[in-house]
Amino acid sequence: MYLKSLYAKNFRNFKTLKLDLEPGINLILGDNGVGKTNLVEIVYFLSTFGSFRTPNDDDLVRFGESYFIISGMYGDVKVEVRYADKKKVLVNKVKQERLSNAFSTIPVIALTSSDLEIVDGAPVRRRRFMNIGISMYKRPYIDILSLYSRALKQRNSLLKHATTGKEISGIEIWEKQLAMNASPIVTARKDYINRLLHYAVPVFYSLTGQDIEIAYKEGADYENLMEQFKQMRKKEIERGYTLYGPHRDDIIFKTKGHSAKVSASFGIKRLITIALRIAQARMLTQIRGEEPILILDEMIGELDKEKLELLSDLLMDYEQVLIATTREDLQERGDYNIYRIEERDGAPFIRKGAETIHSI
Amino acid sequence: MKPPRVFSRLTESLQVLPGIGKKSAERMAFYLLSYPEEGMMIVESLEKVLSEIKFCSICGNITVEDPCSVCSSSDRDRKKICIVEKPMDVFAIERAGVFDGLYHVLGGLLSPLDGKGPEDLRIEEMVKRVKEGLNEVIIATNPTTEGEATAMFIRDILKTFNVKITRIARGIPVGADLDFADEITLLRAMEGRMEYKE
Repeated sequence: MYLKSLYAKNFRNFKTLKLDLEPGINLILGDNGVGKTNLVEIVYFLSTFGSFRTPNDDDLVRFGESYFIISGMYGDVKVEVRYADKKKVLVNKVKQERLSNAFSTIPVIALTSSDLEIVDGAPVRRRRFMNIGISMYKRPYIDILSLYSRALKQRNSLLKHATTGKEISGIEIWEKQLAMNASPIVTARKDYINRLLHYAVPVFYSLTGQDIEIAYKEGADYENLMEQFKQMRKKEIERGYTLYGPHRDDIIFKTKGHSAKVSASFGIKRLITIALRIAQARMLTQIRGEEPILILDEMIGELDKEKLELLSDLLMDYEQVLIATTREDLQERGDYNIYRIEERDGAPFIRKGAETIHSI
Repeated sequence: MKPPRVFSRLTESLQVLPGIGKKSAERMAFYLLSYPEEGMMIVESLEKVLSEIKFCSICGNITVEDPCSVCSSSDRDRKKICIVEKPMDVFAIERAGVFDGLYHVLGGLLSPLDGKGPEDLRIEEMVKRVKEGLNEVIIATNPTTEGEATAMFIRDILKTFNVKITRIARGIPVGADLDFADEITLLRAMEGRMEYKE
């Protein structure tokens, strides 16, 4: 299935947007700052109910307005998000009580410039990469994650108010809640990393001729978590928060036997990121039996001709790909659908192929 | 110009209520000003409730007579108690008419974030009732993190006593379509499956 049409009102710089999309590769061209990323951000938001650029939904509301509405037709399924202080998600006009149930109804894998942080950034960035990836095919995962975070907050609040050397009454109850929810989280993550590795190795090899290793780093001794809490009580009280658990897990990427974060070149880091996203897409295709929509937001701008060639071959497998780029030469590569965004009188205009202006 | 002091005092007291912020409090206060008769009715019923309603000395539910009608009833199974978080939970189960034992209202759940520990719940009273001799204690707190933690806490306290401890089941609502059940509910229903016997 593919995304047939998009609608947006008061989203970023779009006042009203109505756009028909085509299967195959859709090339979104335009200068910097005209709204190419905003366009693909709509698609990503319809899949994950969050942006890849900001955790704050208010940032997405058009300046001077108080709400936004976006929707998309994916096959015959309509997903709509309305935001005004609170987020409301409707699937085929039915309001979703839990966002987790509608998560990834439109399956989307996005490769964006902030993805370099998956290799380069703080561990929280890699945990988010796993969390979103797992939620796309295992939805209760998000709910278990939120039960875990709640128990974590409760335990941290006990640690914060505790004094060293004194027993904290009732802390074991929260530790049991943590351990109970940690176990399915960690199992799902390990399974995810194993599967991801299986798909990432050949993709990375075809892009670079090198091998990649992906290892899961446990943030606690999960076999004996309760015991670890007991032994580390003093340290945890001093720090005032929980030091062991899935909220401290990490992923380690290695090329040529060394940590990529520490020793890989910028170019290799970018190719790792690309390989990870393609691997995610392949894995999702396998598990869900439908191909995700691929989004490439820049990231490919500086690839050399050979890598670009290799990447284009990998993209051929997908029913719909959206590429936002400033690189005009890409349109010569094949039979792509061209969308051109231009700014007129401070508002974005979109031209589709040779057709006339499509939206304001 | 600031609103009159008496008015601000009203909006401030309304904000004490859970879920009521400044804006809602002001809206309520203006409404009460515009419809003074309704305002007086609220004042009267509030006075009545505060002077007449008390907590049952046995189960902790709200009642006019102490002990409450459930605790003083002679045709209920007095060897079974159902532990709930708040009075409204008792009324929900009573409305359904699915339980013939007695209740025990905790008056909240464990939540360090809100400064609520075991001493803030009616745990001691519960232990006292169990010691007097019961066949079964049914833990019916909500399946939230706090509800589960409280259930676990109660279980740990009661396991040294000779009493059967049960937990209400979580699963698919009756008459619902599996297709529409949310996925954590399905997961819990799968975990809590039972042998299908005749």
